[in-house]
Amino acid sequence: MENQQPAAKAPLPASSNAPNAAYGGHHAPTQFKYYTPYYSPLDPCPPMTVKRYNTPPNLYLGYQPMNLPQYRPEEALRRGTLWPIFYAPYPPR
Amino acid sequence: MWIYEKKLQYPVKVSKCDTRMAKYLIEQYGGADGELAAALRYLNQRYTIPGKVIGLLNDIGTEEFAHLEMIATMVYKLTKDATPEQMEAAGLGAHYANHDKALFYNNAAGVPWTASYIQANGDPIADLYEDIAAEEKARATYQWLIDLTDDVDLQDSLKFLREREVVHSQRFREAVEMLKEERDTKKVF
Repeated sequence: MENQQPAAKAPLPASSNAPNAAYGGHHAPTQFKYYTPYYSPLDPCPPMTVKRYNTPPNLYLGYQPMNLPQYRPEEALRRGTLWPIFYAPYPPR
Repeated sequence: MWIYEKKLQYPVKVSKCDTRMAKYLIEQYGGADGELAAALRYLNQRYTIPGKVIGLLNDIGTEEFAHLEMIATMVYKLTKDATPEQMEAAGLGAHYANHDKALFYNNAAGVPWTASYIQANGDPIADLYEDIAAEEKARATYQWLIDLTDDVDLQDSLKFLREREVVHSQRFREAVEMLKEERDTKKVF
């Protein structure tokens, strides 16, 4: 997948970007970061202009704060975590 | 001891006959940061870690075996009905020659699993940092596996496993925070 805008590559649920008590009322960190490596005119292959890497929520939180919201049990199973704050979607490339 | 529940932790459904994926999925079965290495690493480290962390390693190590079963199920489903020709076309000719359809603990490149994948230094911080790194590597490997298939049902199970790596990493990071805390000593700053 090449030449797409970062916003189109990593759609995040609205809740992930809302101001969040666990981050002291600040916005939750984004779960993907993007960079644009140098592309040489002599490079042999068509460029992938935007590279991305994953920065999951565990990088930011330290201890899990107390009394966070939880998913319903069925939803927690489907998502792999009981806690919305740890939900880390992965849109395939 | 363990009590066994005769079901998978999360359903595994494979909807596409794509034997090629079995070759890649085996990385999480018998690779350096696969589920076998993870389970054995944590369950082995339990003995020489401060008491507060033993239960965490016990629980996560046990869950890794549940993940190992899920990977095994995926590989089995993808290979059980393949002809020798299809195995060969999927890059599994050497596996077929060695093992027929039997699963084996090797990585995606066919390198057999080895105990040196399990680091156990004895220093609690070193071991927990090792565990965090292993979880992040496994998370990334699941990402690359999700990228390698367009089977949405297989992707669904892989996304569940990837999310568990995120949560495990969080818990190991919390364990490090616990061990960093000043405990019996009087705090004088």
